[in-house]
Amino acid sequence: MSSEQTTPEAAGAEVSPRGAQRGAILLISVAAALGGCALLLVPLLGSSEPWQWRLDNRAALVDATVNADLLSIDEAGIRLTQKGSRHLSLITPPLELPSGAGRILTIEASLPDVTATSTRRAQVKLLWQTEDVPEFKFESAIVELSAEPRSIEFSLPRPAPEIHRIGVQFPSLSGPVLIRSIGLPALSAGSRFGLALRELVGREPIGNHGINFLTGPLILGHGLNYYLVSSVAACLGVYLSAMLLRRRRIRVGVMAGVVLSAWLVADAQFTWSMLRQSSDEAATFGGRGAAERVAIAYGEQLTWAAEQLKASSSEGQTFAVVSDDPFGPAHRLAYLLAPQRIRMDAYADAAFIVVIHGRSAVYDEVDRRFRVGADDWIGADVVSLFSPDVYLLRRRAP
Amino acid sequence: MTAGWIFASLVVPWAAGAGLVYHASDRYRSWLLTAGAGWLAGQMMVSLLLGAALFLTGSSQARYLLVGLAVLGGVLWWRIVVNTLRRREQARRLSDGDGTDKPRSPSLHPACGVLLAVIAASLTLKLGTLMVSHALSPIRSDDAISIWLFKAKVVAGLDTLIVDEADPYYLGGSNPRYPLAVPLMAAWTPLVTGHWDEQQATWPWLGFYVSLILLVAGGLRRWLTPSTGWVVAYIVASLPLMVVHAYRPGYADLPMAALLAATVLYLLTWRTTHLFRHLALAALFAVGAACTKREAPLIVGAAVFVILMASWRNLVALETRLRVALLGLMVVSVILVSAVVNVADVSDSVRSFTYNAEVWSSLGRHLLAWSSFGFLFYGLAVAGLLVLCHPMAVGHRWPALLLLLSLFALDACAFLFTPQARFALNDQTPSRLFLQSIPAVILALAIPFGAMLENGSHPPRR
Repeated sequence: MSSEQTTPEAAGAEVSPRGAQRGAILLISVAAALGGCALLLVPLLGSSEPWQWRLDNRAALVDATVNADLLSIDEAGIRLTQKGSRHLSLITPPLELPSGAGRILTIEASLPDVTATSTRRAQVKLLWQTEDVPEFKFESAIVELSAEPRSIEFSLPRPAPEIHRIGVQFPSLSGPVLIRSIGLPALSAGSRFGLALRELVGREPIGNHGINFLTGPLILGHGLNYYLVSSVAACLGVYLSAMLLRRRRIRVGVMAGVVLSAWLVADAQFTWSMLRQSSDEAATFGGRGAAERVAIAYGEQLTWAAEQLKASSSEGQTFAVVSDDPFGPAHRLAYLLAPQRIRMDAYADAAFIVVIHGRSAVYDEVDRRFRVGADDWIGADVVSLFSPDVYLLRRRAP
Repeated sequence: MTAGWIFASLVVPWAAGAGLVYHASDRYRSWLLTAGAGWLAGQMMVSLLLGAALFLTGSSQARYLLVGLAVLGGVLWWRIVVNTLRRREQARRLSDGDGTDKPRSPSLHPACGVLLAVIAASLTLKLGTLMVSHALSPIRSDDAISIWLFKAKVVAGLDTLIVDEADPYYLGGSNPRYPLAVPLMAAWTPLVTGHWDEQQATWPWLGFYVSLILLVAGGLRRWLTPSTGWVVAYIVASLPLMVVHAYRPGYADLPMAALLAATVLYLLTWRTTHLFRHLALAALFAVGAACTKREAPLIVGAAVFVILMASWRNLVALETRLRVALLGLMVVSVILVSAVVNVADVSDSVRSFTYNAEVWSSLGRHLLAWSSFGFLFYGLAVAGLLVLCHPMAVGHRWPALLLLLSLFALDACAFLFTPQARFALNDQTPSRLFLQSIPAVILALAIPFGAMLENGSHPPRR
């Protein structure tokens, strides 16, 4: 630091408005203080009308979507296990939620097969949509599940009456999972405050889409920015009002400090979330070789396909991927095998064909031929089989 | 042995770049800035030299290039050491002669000290986490494996760049319209070590993250106190999406953001110093930034244009030979960028002009409601207004405000008026596009805003 420089505090940046300017700033400050406080209190106050989807008999499943194998449904709840490669999920019938319903959604779930004392960490997604479209939006959380039912809490991103359907998905579990109910309970102000704190320190998983955006924690139906900006407005409003009413000079450093404090809270929230994610990843990948890490990250089907292709083909040969997911498996295999093997889009021209859960893919074992949908048949031999839905073919020359 | 090659492949270009930056600086030198801008310059040299070697000789010649960079770095640093020793000797003689003491730095306010300690702890924690993640986690993000690192893996695996359009690995494969500058930076260390390794390939992203922090903290010292510089650097480094781009490396947005910030910093430095070498450094970084992504030439061009427009007094004051040199610099830069970047996709998007009103809600979600940038955009709006109105907000007020408005307007228009709207509606790109410009905007706005906070007590250094 040179002699001509000094810290902001040392410089003592102060402002002392006069006359009409002072009056205007005072008015704005009082409005900011009151507005900020009101915005902070709104999510905590007010009563709400409860709603619940109790899963205790088959009638409850009319018009619902069950993306899983249904093992049983009784007083204890619905017991589901993963079906094929689809993530286990349960979606409500179209809803008409009461206008007075709250925004805190609870899902009662458990893992009946884990031992009584142990827990398992799992990713849970709240699926939601506001209109009847195929796609769902989602909120994600990491929770500890055990044999005893526990309540998983989410804030609804939209007011309840706007919600068309909601659902719950367990991407990291194959089952069985027991879901007892999904509901919007009426919570007291104290419970809401407790929930807000839990949601603040909750963790947003940094998934593949995390590179595009981070939603941050959803606290009682509002994003973190809502609370931070309201708090800053309230604090600055109170400080400015106090200084102006007491005819004291306004210190710019204090105002900057308020804003920076809010920034530090946001940063602490994110850093803590990332730290926990990193700790989980260290536990998952630590002490393993590069190949093992890739196998965990990409899944055993893709790793199997890559190994089989490496073993069965020679350098420079081509392959194509047939899958319901047109992007993920194809691009991941292309990356894992480049540049020694070359991925092609047209399966009919490729030397090898990898089928990974392609519903329209048909292999005729008798005539040893393959096609997708209504395409022409091509001659192909099975090289290796991982499961009935995942296999590797070598195309025969026509 | 491999560890030695990895170390050399990272440090040698950094040292060469830092030497270059140091030689181009004026008497006011910041080691932080030298280190930060040095990494960026080093990565640009790597990309340029690798690209040239691949095109001209058919293979990377990576280890020869490493030796060449080591020689260049050695010569530059030898001169720096000799000059530094000479200056110190002169300074010692002078201080012996007049008996004056060195000026003492003012003491830090306790609150400021606590704040800096918290910032240091937060940055250390982040860097530690990033290092652990870098060492252990495989790359999974979509564009990283399907485009950027895919190209790097192909170039490193083949040790050549295929220029036959019919070949599936033409220009590294994947989408040939994506520029090669960033994949070449990723391919550099694997080419030096002789084998592909994801961890080796993604070192540059950690380097870009660290260099961005150093660039902002060091670069702002010309106008602001070191503590203010560190606070601004911390704000940039703690943007959640910025951290995620270092945590999940492989996308080109972070390299572009760092290079664009360096461009803006040296343009603003030139406005203060009137030294042509700062303009030359700005041009160097502008070319680097423009070569990172398909949309980059448009964004970098807009940034350079508005700052030059706000610097018309500097331009008028240039001597004729320097004006000619500036024109030459611009022509060469445009030719270089045109040769490297295929802007066909951007042109197609711009030609398909349609207004997409539904994009507004998506932009609001990304910039104001979600946490990708914390509550930065609320802060930028207030800071922009204060800089516009406050008499103490001196120093680069207009370039900062024009940059803020033009870059964000450009980003917003990319979604509002082109088919890119679909990527706003499916939430894929809005935050990432804004991320590219944010460090540059924060850096520029920090100068007048910081001066306002510091009560305009420090005249800009020349």
